Amino acid sequence: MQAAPKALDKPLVASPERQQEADSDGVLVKRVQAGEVAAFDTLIRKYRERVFGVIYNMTSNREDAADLTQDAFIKAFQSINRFQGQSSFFTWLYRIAVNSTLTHLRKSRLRSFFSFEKINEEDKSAEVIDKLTDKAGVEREVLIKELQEKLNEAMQKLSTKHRTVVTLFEIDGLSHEEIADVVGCSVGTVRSRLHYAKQLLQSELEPYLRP
Amino acid sequence: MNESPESRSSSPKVSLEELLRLKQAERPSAEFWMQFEQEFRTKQLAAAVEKRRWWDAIPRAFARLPRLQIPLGATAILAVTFLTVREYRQPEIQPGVIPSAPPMVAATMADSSAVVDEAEFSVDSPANSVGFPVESAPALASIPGADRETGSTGWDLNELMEQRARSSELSPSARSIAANLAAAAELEPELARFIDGQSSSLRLASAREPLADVASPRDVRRDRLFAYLGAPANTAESDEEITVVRERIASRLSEAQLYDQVRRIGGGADRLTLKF
Repeated sequence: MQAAPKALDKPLVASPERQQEADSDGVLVKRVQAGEVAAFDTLIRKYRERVFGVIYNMTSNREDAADLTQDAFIKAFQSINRFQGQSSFFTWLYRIAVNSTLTHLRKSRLRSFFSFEKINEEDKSAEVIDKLTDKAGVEREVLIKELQEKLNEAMQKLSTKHRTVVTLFEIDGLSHEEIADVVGCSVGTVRSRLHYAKQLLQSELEPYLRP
Repeated sequence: MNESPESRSSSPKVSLEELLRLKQAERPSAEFWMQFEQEFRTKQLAAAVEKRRWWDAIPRAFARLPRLQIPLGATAILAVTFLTVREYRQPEIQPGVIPSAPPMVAATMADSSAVVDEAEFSVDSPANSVGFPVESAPALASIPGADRETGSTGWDLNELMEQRARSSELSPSARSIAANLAAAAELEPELARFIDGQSSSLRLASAREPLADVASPRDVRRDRLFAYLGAPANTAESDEEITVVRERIASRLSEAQLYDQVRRIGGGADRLTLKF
């Protein structure tokens, strides 16, 4: 309940950096459409980690995430001539990736198992872990592993729609409008889903959270 | 080994956003991306070589439909409205065009033509009971000179001939009846006399209770059968004898047989058909 107003404070319009990014993507897309296949490699390198991150956080399985990321890029390459630039390239690519992932999750609902990536302890993540424990060495590793499992459990308890919105907003940092564009729903629906998902996550992760 | 949440209660806690930020830090190693790229190239090549199936284009074609929802829906509504209005619009009667005769008159015309044909077919049968059916009275009323009160037509052949000359003023049904009668009178004077006799019976019939004129289906079938059956050649035979013979035949025929017999006999404008 406390986190919802904070989420609404986030900017709802595309930032100048995002706009600049979209423009450079547009140039690359035009080159690909003109037949320059190498330009698509640039786009792959630029977005593969982000696309993988979204899919990975939705599936909680690194192998599935890798396959789905590759499939998303292949689909994007096959359909690049139909991309008319009505939305930014990364929104379009995300839409392909999210839809493929949702289809995959629907198909493999009963046979889901998790495999995690290792948390890279860099600046921000290290700060969070420091706040949670003052221990070092093996004990710290164990805590991180436990936290990772708890986080994934909590995420998997969300429905796919709610998980998608949380992933895109909290983990990937997309705006409400961008999420609405990717998911294909209204901004109000995005906010509502986000609010509900956060409530659920807070109840699941209560022992780790500030009161 | 694991710290329970209770034991961690004294330690500083984080917000949900901060906790979720840890998920951002779950990143694969450089080896993973090398392997990823290799697999991607293989898949890309396979996808390029793979022949596209024609049905893959169907979902893409349907994906464009949502954009056309409003125009398509509006067109469909307009088409349905146009068809409905066209279906239920009353036909306009144009001036100078005579509308088709009502069913009763049409039936009467058919009957009258049948009379002429039957007369041509069975020359020696003046005493058969075909005559003019009672239903022809409304049509007769449209003939000038017909007595509407009694139903008498006043069958004067000369008058009919005159009427024929003036036929352009008559209704189509009256013209047809008059023409048939005149033709029949010219060909068969006997038939003309018979028709005249029938007109007197019509006079009697009109004086009776209207419901009494309604013939039962059995009677209609029987009359029809007798009309087609060869009548006695001797025209001098009395009506009583004919009636007795008919009654005998009719009493021996069951309803089913009668219906069967009648069904086998058919007549057109210029033909008589018998089914075996």
